[in-house]
Amino acid sequence: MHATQSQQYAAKIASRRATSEPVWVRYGLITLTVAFLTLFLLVPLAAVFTEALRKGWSVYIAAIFEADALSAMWLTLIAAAIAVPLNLVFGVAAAWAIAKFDFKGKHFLITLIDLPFAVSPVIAGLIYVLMFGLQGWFGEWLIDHDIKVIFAVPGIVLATIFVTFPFVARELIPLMQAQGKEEEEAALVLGASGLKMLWHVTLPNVKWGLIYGVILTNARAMGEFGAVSVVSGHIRGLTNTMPLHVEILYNEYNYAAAFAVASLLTLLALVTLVLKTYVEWQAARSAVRNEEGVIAS
Amino acid sequence: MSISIQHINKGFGQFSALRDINLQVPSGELVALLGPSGCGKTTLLRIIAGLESPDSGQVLFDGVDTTHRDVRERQVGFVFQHYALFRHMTVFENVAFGLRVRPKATRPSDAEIKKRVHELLSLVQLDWLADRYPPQLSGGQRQRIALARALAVEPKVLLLDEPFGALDAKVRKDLRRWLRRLHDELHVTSVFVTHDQEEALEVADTIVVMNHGQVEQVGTPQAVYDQPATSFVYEFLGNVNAFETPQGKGFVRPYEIVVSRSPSTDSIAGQLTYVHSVGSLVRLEIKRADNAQYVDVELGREVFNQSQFAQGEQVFITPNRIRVF
Repeated sequence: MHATQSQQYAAKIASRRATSEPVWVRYGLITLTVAFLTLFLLVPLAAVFTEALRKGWSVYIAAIFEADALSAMWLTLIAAAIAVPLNLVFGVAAAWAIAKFDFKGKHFLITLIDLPFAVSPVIAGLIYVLMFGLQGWFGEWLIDHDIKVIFAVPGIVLATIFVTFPFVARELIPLMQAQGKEEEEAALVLGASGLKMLWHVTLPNVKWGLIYGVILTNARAMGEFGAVSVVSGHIRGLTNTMPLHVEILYNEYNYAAAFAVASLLTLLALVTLVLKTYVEWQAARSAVRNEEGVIAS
Repeated sequence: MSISIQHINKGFGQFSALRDINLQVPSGELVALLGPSGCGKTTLLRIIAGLESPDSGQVLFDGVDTTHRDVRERQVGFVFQHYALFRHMTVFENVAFGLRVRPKATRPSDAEIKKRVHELLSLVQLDWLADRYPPQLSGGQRQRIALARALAVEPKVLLLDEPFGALDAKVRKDLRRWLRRLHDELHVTSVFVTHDQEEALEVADTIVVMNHGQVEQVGTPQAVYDQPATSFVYEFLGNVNAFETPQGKGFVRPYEIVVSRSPSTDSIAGQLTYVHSVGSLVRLEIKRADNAQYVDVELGREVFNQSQFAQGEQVFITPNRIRVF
């Protein structure tokens, strides 16, 4: 009896060995990963908060509630508040067109959507300067009509939209393609209008992907530095977003204030990560539920 | 409502899916579009529904040209091959969908919708599943919910794409009979697509046999089975053996062959290579001595029991009915 049990146990170990690496490889890899993450992610994260609070809470609070800092936050919020809904609409429209219809130039359109990922943000900013700047294509016309784009809020919003527009579409395209268009066709045959179909069938089916895309869009919109830096002009209290404000404070050797504002951006990143994890968990759960249903049938 | 299809053509790029299709579906009939995959039967069904538009030709509902009428206004019920139930809605909401999306002026009240949905769910015998979600249902249940959903809008025409294709054999048989009874009850003009000849023969009033984007034959199950118009129809509707005859290639059904131990005037010698004797029919596989081709023969169990052929035995076969096209 004991013999068979130990034999079974040995067999179990052997079968486990057959499909996994030796112990030292596993622990080696885990150690390496943890060390890397600590060095490059956790230590800087801790450093941000340590530096921010080095001179105490009062300095920290003062740095955050300082007028220029508040205006930078406000501008960041405005840029995100405009860019996120616009890219939400654009992303749904683009994903819809690509996933549910066949047309010429579809692959070109997909490539075009990826352009902001491929091009350096600084170049993205420069494009707008070349178009709307004083010496740009539309420069004269804009001056004649007294419209300021570059070194003003519209330019910042434009640059933010440009760098964030692939996120929603990129999330939705594979999801919508996998789901096919039978449910939409069923809705149409049942007499639903296009809008009702979108609202009652298409969007609920991609809900989690959509929320995920919006979270990523928002995180990038608030954190964007390069493109916004080029078009902003760094006018304190007027055209500074939070990342730009951090840079200015840092260059003025005002470390405590710089890290205080940076800590807010860091908190935003942490909140984003938590939300992202929650959404992924929910999406996986609903996928598992569907999966189980399929197996049960 | 009757359906009339006139000179329909449809191509996808270089591929011609339908070529000059003409078809009349009388009001209240249950018609099967039968053919191998890629024969254009699903495309034809989708054109009738309005989900696809023909390159040329017309679709008439009760004599009225509906070729360019929007799918929403055609009042058709469509059951998709994979059911296409709305996965995030309960069974109740799925069935109610067609009523809820109506414009305010024609939308029934909540109480009426509730009554109607429960009627339909009772009709498909699944009232107890109203609060479940589609992924929690079995294939057969999903199929019936899809049908209830299609019927909720009181369609003039019911279209079903491979309605039993994704189900296992037992469920498929039950649902087949159930659909037939349901049709006899409701009498709504129905067209269903299938590649399964047994299904078409058992369920339909009329069978439309299609191949390569064209209609090969239209007729009652008995007519297409007993008087096939082309060799394709004959081969598609059942097992056949091919024989060379002086008039050309001839076809013989497996049950139209006599097997005996002694030769007769026009018998062919062969060796019995396999005996499959499960069920009421005994299937024999015979290798012809002259050209080494295999011939399938079906004998009634009574007949087989009288002669008791054994595997490996030398036999003589005589086709008693050869069809030449």
